[in-house]
Amino acid sequence: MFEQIVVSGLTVGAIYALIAIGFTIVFSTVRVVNFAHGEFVMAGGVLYAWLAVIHQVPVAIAIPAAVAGCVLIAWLSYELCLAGMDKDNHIAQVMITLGLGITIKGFAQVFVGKDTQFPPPFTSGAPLALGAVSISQQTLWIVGSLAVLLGLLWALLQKTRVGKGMRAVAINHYAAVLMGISPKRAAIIAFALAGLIGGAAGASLAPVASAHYDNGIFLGIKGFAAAILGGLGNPVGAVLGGVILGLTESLTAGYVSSVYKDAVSLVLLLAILLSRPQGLLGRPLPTKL
Amino acid sequence: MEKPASMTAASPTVPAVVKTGRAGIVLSSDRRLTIILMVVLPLYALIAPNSFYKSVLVSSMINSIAAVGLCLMLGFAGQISIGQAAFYGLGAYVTAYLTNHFGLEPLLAIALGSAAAMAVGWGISRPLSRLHEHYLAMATLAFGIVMYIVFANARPLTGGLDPGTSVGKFAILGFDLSSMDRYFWVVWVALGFAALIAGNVAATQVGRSLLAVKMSAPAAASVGIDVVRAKAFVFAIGAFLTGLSGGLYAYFARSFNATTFGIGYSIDLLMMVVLGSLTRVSGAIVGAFIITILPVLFEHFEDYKTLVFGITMVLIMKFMPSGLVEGVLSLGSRLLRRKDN
Repeated sequence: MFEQIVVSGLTVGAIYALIAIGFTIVFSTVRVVNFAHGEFVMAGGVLYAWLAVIHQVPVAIAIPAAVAGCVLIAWLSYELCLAGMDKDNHIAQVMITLGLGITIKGFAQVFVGKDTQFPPPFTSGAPLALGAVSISQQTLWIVGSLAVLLGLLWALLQKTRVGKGMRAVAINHYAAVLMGISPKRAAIIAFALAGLIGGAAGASLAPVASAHYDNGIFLGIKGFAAAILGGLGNPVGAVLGGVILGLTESLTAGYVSSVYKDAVSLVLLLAILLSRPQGLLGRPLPTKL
Repeated sequence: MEKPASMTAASPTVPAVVKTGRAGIVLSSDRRLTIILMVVLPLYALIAPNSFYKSVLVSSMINSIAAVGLCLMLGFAGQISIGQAAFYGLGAYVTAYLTNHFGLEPLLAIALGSAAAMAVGWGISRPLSRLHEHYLAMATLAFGIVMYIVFANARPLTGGLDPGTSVGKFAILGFDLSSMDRYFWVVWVALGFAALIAGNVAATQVGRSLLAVKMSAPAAASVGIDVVRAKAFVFAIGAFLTGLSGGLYAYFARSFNATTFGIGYSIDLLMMVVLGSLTRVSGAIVGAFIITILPVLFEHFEDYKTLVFGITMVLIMKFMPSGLVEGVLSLGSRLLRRKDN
């Protein structure tokens, strides 16, 4: 029983972590909390379901197509809405991402429909049995995508010129510009990555938790909570935050009451924030005069 | 009284307003706009063709009161809150509970409901005063969601999602004011009261200390402003006005359930304040009307409603990033200047 709850908590945690990474990448390069990010995740699930269920596209094509669709949505979101806005007007930028989220949700509602879909799992097969614990294949896909995407992200940020440029923009925008790095390009890549990782999260979650145009806000809040808990801007923190939230939720649901699982995890988040205002792994915020 | 007022209400915006000698004009334009709005509202209520229009009007005004509260918190003191629905709910539920279980006079119940919201706002502001920006946004968001879960599940107190809560008719000392025509005046007085409070806060030393806190908390502390106290004050006032709006909502809807007090309402309030103008009380009122009326206007688009609403939001923020009121005013002054030349 306990092991099974931990496994499901880790699965949920992996999803939250994937979503949180998207918040974190965009935040570190563009300095904006992208409230449309939850809708990218929703789009991943809904596009996958739309292709695989309604249009009967084979799973092996539907998944990459859905993820590519999310990358496109994320890129367009930046290009059409955020690019060219006053960089220092944070609140306007946040509000435009909120409007953008509503727009994406509206598109999903109009073009894909309002029905809840359960797309097929990536691979069908018997669940893995480890002693008393049974692990579904989709769980392996979810945790596997987190591991692979984290590895790729790490390689991109540490080993490539593009990634180093993005880190430079994150550390000091103006110094990066002086070194000939284009913040706009860094921002586009950050959004595309957020779309990619968010889309993958949404597509791999959909077979377990259904795809519906209205899911985005819930997923976004969970991801944002995980990113904040770990410390905004820190990918490792995002994973840590996601796992803590996922485990808390499934332990509460298993032993206390599933009605209060969100309440318990959010109270825990509040308690952690009050003792560490910058999140678990975040750097203390410099106060400017 | 008039002169210091002009300095404060203008300054939260941006240096552009403060540095010029036109600061006085800008301020009085906020106060003037508010007064114009307060005069136009009853005129519209007189010519409103049917009770549906009137109820949209009254509900916009109720939302305006909550928006004015958030405008003080976010626009003047820089304290973001995505948990305002909690105060709105507290106001509504305490009001309903007191009238239903203790038979309190509705007006008194609303006053106590707002006071309860205010107490909670003051209480949470103390621990929250350590958090900044996004962390504060997340913490207030979490507070709002937790309160929503409590509202939805504490069924003996709130009726939860089903059957919800009902209250009787609004009356003062037995004089029935529940018809939309009469209730309009109740809400109108409350909105005037809210605007007056907000205007006075902005015009006094308290308001200036809030502005200082918004610009830089350490700098404010260095000149002797008690930052924690200033934040607690603005949270309390913001929660009070939002609670007042919730209490009025209880008597407006007469029957409601917990879904009203979800995170959606907190986000709506945020949109009202930013869309109108962050730095003007009148802007919050205009924003509240837009966010309340747009979904009603888009009703006949049916499935396209969400999409059209989202695109409208994006366009407004893209082309008028400091809000509609600011945008329209600057457009107007640009046109006037062109005429002069």
